[in-house]
Amino acid sequence: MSNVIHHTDSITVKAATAKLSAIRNFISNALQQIKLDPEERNGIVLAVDEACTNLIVHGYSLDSTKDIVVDFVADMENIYVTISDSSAAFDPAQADSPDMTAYFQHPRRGGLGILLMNKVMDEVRYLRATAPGTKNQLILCKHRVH
Amino acid sequence: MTEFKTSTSKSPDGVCVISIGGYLDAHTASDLERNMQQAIDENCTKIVVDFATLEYISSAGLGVFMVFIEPVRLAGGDIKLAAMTEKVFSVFDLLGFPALFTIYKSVPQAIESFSLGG
Repeated sequence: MSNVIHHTDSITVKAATAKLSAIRNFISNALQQIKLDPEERNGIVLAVDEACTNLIVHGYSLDSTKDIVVDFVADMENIYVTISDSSAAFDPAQADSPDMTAYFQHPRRGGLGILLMNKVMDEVRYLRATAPGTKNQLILCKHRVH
Repeated sequence: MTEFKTSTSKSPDGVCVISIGGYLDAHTASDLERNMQQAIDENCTKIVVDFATLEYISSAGLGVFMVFIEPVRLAGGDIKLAAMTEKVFSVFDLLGFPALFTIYKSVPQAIESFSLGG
């Protein structure tokens, strides 16, 4: 059945850009267990990097005492990466994506991570923590093509 | 591993070649930014970035080129990109960056394009 879990794994790291390589390695290793097109594999690693970078820089304002939890789950149909945090809510789906024509006329730093994330993933969902002790969750989903 | 290397050399024609290798992300982008700023401070506005050994780039890396492209062009120069792997090119391509930057197959081609006025 579609919901039989093939692979699941988790990592917790401090919210520092120095930890991005550990997060990428974690996702790369988890994806090694899955039959996947290399381009899709690279895209998922990139999307997770972008999501965690946004969280570290904007959500946690570079406070490296905070934690990021990254969970990986793959079933027959989908790959899910869930990024959990306790920052003030930051919903990427609500952030403006730049108009690239205007962006190229007036180049500037930043604003491209969410666009990249949405381009390479099939679904990006955000669940805001609603009760004490719970965490915000950003769920990145990639459909598997058989 | 977060390993990123960058170095600068100058071609006989006065073109600055900035070589980048390894992983360019939000942690390492400041190294490249510093190197590019130094080249510009030394009045180098004809810049070729050699991507041959770059294995990974995220939007934080793309952002470095976005910071410098306008001032460099206003000063009469350009930033030309060369020798990208397919993996790195695909990130540029996803966002339509080839519309803003000229991307060459090789560093010599990119250097030569300055003397050809391209």
